[in-house]
Amino acid sequence: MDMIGQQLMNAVMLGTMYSLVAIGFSLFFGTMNVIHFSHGDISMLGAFIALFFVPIITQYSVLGSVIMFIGAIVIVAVLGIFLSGLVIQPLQSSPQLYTLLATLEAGLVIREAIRLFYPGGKMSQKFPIIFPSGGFSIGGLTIRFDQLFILAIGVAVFVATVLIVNKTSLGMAIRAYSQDKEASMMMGVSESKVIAVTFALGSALAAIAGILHGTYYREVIYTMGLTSGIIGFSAATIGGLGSIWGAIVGGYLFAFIQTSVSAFVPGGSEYRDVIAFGVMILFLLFRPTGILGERQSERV
Amino acid sequence: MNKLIVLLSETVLFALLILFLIAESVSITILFIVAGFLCAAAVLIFPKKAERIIKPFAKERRTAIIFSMILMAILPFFFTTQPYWLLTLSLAGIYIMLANGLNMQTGTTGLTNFSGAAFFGTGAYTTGLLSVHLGLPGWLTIPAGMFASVLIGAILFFPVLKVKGHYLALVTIAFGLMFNIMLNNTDAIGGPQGISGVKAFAIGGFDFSGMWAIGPFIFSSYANNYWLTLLAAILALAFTRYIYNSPVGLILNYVRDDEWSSKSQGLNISYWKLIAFCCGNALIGLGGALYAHMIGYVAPDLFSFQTSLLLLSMVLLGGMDSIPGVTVAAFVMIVLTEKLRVIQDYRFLIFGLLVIIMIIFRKEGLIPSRVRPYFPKLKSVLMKR
Amino acid sequence: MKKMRTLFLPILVILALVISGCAVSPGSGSGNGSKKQTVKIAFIGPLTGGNSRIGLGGRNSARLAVYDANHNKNNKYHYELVEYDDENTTQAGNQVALKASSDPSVIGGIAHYGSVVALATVDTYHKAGFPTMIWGAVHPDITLGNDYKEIFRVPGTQIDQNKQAAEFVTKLGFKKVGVLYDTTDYGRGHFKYFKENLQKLGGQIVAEMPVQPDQQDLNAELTKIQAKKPDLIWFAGLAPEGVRVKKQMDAMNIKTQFMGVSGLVNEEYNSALGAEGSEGSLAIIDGAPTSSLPGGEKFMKDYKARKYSEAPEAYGPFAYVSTDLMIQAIEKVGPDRKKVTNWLDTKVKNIDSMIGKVTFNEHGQNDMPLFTPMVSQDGKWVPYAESEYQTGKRKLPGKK
Repeated sequence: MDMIGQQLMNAVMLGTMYSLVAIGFSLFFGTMNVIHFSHGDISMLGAFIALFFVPIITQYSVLGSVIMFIGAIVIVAVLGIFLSGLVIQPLQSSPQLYTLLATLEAGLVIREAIRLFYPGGKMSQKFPIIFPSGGFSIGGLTIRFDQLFILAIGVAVFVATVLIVNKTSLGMAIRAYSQDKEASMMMGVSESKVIAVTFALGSALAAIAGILHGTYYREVIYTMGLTSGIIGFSAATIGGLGSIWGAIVGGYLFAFIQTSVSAFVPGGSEYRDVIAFGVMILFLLFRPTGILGERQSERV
Repeated sequence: MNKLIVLLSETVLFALLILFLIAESVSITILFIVAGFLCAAAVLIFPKKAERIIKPFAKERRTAIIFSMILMAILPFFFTTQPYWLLTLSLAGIYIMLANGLNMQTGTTGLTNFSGAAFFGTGAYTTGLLSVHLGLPGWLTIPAGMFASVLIGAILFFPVLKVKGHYLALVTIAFGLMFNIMLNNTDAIGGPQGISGVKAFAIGGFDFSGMWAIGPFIFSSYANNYWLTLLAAILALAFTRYIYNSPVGLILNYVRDDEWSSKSQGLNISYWKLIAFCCGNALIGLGGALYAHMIGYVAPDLFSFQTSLLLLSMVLLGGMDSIPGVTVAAFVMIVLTEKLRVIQDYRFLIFGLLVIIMIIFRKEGLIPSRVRPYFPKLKSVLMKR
Repeated sequence: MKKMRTLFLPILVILALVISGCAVSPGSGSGNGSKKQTVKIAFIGPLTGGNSRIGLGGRNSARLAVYDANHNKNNKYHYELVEYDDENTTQAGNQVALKASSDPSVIGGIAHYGSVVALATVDTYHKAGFPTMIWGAVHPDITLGNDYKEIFRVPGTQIDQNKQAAEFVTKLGFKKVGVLYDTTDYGRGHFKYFKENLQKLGGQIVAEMPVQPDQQDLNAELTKIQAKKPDLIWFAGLAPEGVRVKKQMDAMNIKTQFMGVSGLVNEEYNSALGAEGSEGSLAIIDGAPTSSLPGGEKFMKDYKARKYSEAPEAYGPFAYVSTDLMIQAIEKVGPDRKKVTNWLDTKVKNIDSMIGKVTFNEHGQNDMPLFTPMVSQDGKWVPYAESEYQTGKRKLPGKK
C-alpha cells in the first residue's frame, strides 16, 4: 500500500514539472496558434541562468533564493519575448511547418550554445538545494519538505496563471485575441502587447519549471530541455491544446502513465516512453481535441 | 551553341567538384564555399544575366541530363585511391533518395513527417535481417526493405490521416521516438548493437564487395556501391519527376493547398494521401536498403530524431516541392558536413543558425519550385505578372 | 527592400563562415626533429557531441604519447597524430574509419570509444589491413567476436571487468543487489556480465531496472528498488546518468551503498555531486591505479604540464598506452602496416606499461587486464585498497 502511495507521490512531483512546461505550449497555441518547440530548452535555459545566482544564495539563503527565482524568471521572460520576435512572429503567415522547424532549430541552438559556451557545459551541473531538506512519514509514506514546497509553488503558479488569463484585463485581451484576432484589434487590443505578454508569461513558467526541476533533482544538464519539451507538448495535447487546465491535467496524466509503467509493469521501465507516447497517439486518434479541449469544427 | 554552353559549363562544374573534394586544406574549402555563395547571390541579384546560362539548359534538357549522368558515372576514376569520398558521395546519393521521398510527402502533399528516420531504419533493418538471417540475395532484400517501409508507413497512416498540422507533427515525432526505443530494446534484432555482417549486394555472380580493374584503374567495393547508388538515385529521381509532372503530382499539390476545395471536386483525399505517403516511404525504404548493403552494419543510433530533423531540413532548405532544390540540398549538406569537420564542435550551432536564417529570409528554399508549365504559352504571361 | 533581403542572406552566411573559420583550432603538429621520416598515426574518437569529454581526454593522451615519442632522441621516426571525429555514431565512424585506413601514409589507428561504433568499423580496418588499437570500447565482441588480426585492445572487456566487480562486491559482503542500467549497449552489456558473475558467486539481483539514458526522473525506479531492501544499488551507465541516480538517491534519503562501472570514474561525478554526495561511491576501473605503477605518476605529471584543457578521464591512460605500443611497433619494424600488425600480434607479451603488463592473446585482446576497485573519498577517486575505507578508518555508507 505504501508502495502505491510513494509512487503516487513520485508521479505527482513529475506531473507538476510536466504541467508547468505544458501550460506554455497550451498558452502559445491558444493565443497565436503556434507550437513553440524550443520551449523545453527555454526551461533548461532558466535553470542555467538561475545557476548564475548561486553566489547570492550562499550569502543570503532565503532572500537569495527569492532573488534567484525573480531574476531568472525576468531574464527568461525577456529572452522569450526576444525569441518570439526572432523566430515566431516573422513566420506567422507561413505554413506551420516553418514555425515548427524554426523553433526546433532554435532549441538546438540554445542547447548547443549552453554546451559550448557555459563553463563546463558538457557536464551535469550541481544545482543548489533551496528548500529545507528532511521530511516526515505518515503510515509508511515518506514525504519530503522539498516536495511539499515544489508542489505548493506549482499549484500557486497554476492558480496564478489561470487568474491572470481569466481575471485581469491583460488576460482578457489575450483571450479576446485568441478568439478573434481582427475583432479584438478593432476593440483596441494591442497585438504586440498581447504577444509580448503571452511569451513573457509562458517563458516565465518554463523558467520556474527549470528551476524546480533543478532543485528537485539537484542537477541540471544541457540536454534536459529536449525531452521535457516533447513531453510537455504531448501533455498539452492529451489535455487539449489551448486549455490551461487541460495542460495541467495532461501533465499529470502523462506522469502517471510513465510512473505506473515503471513501477508496476515488470521490466516496464525501459518502455515507459513508448507506452506514454502510444497512449498519446491513441488520444489523438479517438479524441483529437484532448481531454479538456473545446470541441470545434475544423478551421477553413 | 546551346549544346556547347551546356557541355562546357557542366564540365567546369564537374572539375570544380572534384577539386573541391580532393582539396584537403581548410582555407581552400572555405574559399570554395564563399565563392559558391557569391555565385548564388549573383544569380539572385542579376536574374537576367543568369538566365543566359540557365536557358540553354532548359532548351537542351536531354543533353544536359545525359552528359551530367556520364560525368557522375566516370567520377570513381578520379578517386581510386580515395574511397572515402566515394563512400561519402554514395551516402549523399542515399540521402538524395531519402530527402526526395520525404519531399513527396511533406513538400508535395503537405504531410508533415518527422519520422523519416524510422522508415529509413525499417528499410535498413529489414534488408539487414533478411540478408544476415535468411541469406537472401540483394535483388530480393532491397524490394523487401522498400515493401516493409511502405507497410509500416501504412500502419502509421491511420493516425496520419486523422490528424493535421501540429498534431501530425507530434504523432510522427512520437512515432519516431518510439521506433528508436523499440529498435534499441529489442534483443531479437540486435538491441543497441544492431545487425552486423550484412552482405554486400551481389547480382549474377558479381559480388559488389569484390575488386576489379580497367587498365591502371582499380575499383574497390566503394566504387561498385557508388555506381549502384548512382543508378538507384537516378531511377528514384526519374520516378519522382514522373509523378511530379503527371496529373498525380497536380492532384497531390491540390490536396496540399486546399483540402476542402479538392474534396468538393470529388477527389478522395485519403486515397491520394496514402499514395503519396507510400511512394515517399518506398523511396526512403530503398535508401535504407542500399545503406544496409553498402555499410554492412545497421545500428539504431542512425535512426534517431536527429536524422529525421536533418532530412526535413534538407527538404526545407532545398525548397518544398522542388525536386532539383531538395536534391542539391541533400548533396550539399552531406558533402559539406564532411568538408567542414574542421569546425567540429560548432557544427550543429552554425547549422541550426543557418536553417533559422534561411527559414526567415528565404522560405521558398535554395531552388524554389516553379509554376507548373502545363500551358507553355500561358507561362510567359504568368512570368510577366 | 527586396534586394536588401537577398543581399542580406549571403552576407550573413559569409560572416558565419568567416567566424567559424576563425574558430578552427590549430592542429597538433609540433615540428621538432624534422630530419627524421614522418610517420602518421590516426586517432579516432568522439571529439564532438555528448561523449566528447572522454574522446578529447583520449585524444590528449594520444597527443601526449606522440609528444613523448618525438622528444625521445633514440626514436627513428617523427610521429604525427591525425585526428578524426567519429561523433560516436556508426555513420560518421564508418566514414572516418575509411578515411584513415585508405590513406596509405597513415600506418595505424588508435580508435573508438563507443562499442557500437567499433563493432561497425572493424570490418573496414580488416579489409584495409590497418592495425587498430581500440582504446575505449569495451564490448567483448570487438576483439573476441572475430578473427581479425588487425584489431587489438589494451583495456579489458566488459566480461573481465564485471567478473572482478562481482568478486569485489561479494568480498565486501553485499548479497542483495538492486540494479539500474541504461539501455545503451554500454549499460546492457555491463549488466549482462555482472548478473552472470554475481549469480555464480551466490549473489542475488533483487530488482533490475533498465532506463533510457536521457530519462531525467528516476524516482519511480528507485522507489521500486528500495522497496526490495537491497544492500547495494549498482548502476551501469556513464557519469551524467550516474550523477542523476546518486543525486536522486540522496534526495530520497536512500542510504544504500552505491556502485557504478568504469564510466562513472571521472571528475564530473565528483564535481557535480560535491565531496559530500560522492563520498563512499564505489566503481571499478580497468588497469592498475595510475599512481601505483612507475609510468602512472609521470603520465599524470606530464599531462598536467602539457596544460590540456580536458582531463584524461577513465580511458586516457589506455589511449596513451595504445599509442605508445603502436609507436614501439613502428620503431621496431618500420612504418609498414603488415609488419606492424605482425609485431603487435606476436611480440606483445608482458610489456610493461602504466596500466600493468600488456599481453595480446590470439584475438588481439589484452589477456591480463588489471582492474582496480575505486572509491570516492573527499571528492576524489582513489583505489579502494589505498583508501581509508580499506584501513577501516571510514565505513562505507551502506555497510552495517
